Amino acid sequence: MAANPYNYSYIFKYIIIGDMGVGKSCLLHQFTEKKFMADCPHTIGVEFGTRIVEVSDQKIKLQIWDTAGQERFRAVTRSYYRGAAGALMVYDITRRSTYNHLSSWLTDARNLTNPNTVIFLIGNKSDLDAQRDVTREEAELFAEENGLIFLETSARTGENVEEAFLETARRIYQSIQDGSLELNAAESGVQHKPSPIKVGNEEGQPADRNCSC
Amino acid sequence: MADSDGFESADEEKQPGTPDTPSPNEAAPLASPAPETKPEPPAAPDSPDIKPDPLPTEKSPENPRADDWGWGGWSSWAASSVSNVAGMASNATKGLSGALETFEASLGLPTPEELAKEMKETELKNTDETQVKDSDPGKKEEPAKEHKEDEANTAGGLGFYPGAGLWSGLSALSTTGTQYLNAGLDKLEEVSNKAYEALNDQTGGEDRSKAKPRTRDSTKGPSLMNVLQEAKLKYEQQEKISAETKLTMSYLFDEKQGLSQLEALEMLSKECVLKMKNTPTDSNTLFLYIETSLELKSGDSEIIIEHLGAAVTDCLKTLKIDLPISKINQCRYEIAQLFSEMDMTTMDETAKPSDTKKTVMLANSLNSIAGFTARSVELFKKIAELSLLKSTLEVDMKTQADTIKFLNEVLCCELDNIRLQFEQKTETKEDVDRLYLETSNAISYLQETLYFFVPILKWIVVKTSKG
Repeated sequence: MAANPYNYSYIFKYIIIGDMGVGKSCLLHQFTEKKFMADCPHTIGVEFGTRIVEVSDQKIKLQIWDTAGQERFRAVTRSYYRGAAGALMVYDITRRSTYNHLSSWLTDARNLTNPNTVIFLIGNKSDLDAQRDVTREEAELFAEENGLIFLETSARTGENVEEAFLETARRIYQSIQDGSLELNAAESGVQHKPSPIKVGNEEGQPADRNCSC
Repeated sequence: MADSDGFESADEEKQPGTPDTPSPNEAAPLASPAPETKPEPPAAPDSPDIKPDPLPTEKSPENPRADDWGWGGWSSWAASSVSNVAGMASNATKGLSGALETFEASLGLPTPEELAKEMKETELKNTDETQVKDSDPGKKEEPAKEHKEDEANTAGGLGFYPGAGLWSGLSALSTTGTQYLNAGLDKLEEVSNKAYEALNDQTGGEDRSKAKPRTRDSTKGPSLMNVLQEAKLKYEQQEKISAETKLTMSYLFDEKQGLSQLEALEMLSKECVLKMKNTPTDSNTLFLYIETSLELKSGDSEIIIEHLGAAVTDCLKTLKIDLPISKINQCRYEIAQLFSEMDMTTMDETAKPSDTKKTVMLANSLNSIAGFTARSVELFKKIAELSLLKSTLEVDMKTQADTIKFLNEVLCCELDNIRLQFEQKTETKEDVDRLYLETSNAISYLQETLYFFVPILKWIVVKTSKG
């Protein structure tokens, strides 16, 4: 352990988007806890999850923003896209409507993030193949047409969950190596060597209190 | 440097006779003085070519010590570092001697008889050549001279003198001999390269790695022990710093996702600021009320909370926000559990408070406070999210602002209550101070939410008034 209490070198911000009930929170739970959450309550606004992963011998903290899928939250959750380095766009392979809404989610993702944001398309619930409503082929085609990476996953069995999160991290890390992603820029969603944000001073008075907006 | 040493030692051998010692101008200042006789012109250009090469070839059979060559640098290094390496090195030098013998043969060096003949011939020639400087041999030797002068410059002039000593019996070599020697130089280089490789192979790997620390010891460098001790100290200091940093509110609050919650609230707030800028609005008296209401005042009244859950629920009801408070309740419950556990342990071990126990105690306190703060900030963030979803002003804005301020005070007071409870279990003044400081930081995070609420409430006013 070094003097830095954080045992990672980078923080990547991820955002998970997609219709209600496609399994966004379950994917996150599977990824962070390696467990399937059977009765997952509806997400209010945004929830968070973190996990430290290793890419190219670099420890990276994934700071994952799991947004509410309900349409009524859409206006609020749009505020959270900013500064995401990775966007996981999820649909449910057993519900065609969730697939049909992808273009709308993709528009948001494109408009509200930066051009370097890695967008990963996830067809969740691959364990329910018998009830499949969206073929893998058409999703692959959609991904190809829109320059997305694609995988079918199962938050229940854990299939491909790890891969989806890790592959996104690899692509982001690659962008850093290429120099196309500027570290620590407000929009990049990537922080290097974190320094804890300190709010307020030792007397307990919050900073910038007098700044009125 | 080893090379020059080697040649210097050979210098002594030059004493027996130096009649024809050539002294090219470049070499003269470096070389030991006193050739007895002045060099004869034809010999002068020649000798630099010849001397470096014949010297070793002559010497090596009789004196297997490779030192004179500069190989000694390698062999002695190897010998001093590891004994078995020395053995290998001497083998290598033996091999080298063998190689040199074949090298001699390949040069086609004249036998002593031949040399004697040549000496007589050259003596005769010399008399002529001093008079006729443009003679053929002189011309032929010219290019060789230039070439060799360069080498002399780079190789260091000392080397040529010993050679001169060895070859004292000869006034000069024939031009064919010079050519042979030039070719022989390449051969010698090849041999030396091979010998170098052989030495490298034999002393490589583990042996060399063993040798290095010894060399360091002998050169008064830091001993391995010192290095290890320094590293250990450094590591311990880093560990200490690291452990201390881990017990700060900023670290713990982040660990509990508190910073992310605060960041999300900030993003909502900024979005509202942006929307306000883009929407032409008349100044509203409510804006001032919101600002004043959410402002922090010094000496905010202490609130006595009988039941935290009930107080929070009441506030949410007033705000008409439907939000489960299970998370914050659970967090508070866990802290209460921790207290009862601590009571039990204190009763068990009152007699011997250990350092570890104290650290655990402080860590527990700070962890609990960070967790409660994070859940409180999360509550405010969710209130903001849900308030922003409403299309109509269900609750009077003044009530909303006051309720939010009140809820914030309730939670800040609860944080202070938790601190006080932990303080009773804290033994040292240092820890009491630390607990106070970190709780103040936690309260700052929580109060920060009010600051973010100002634009949010203002935007809600604008949005709902526009329908």
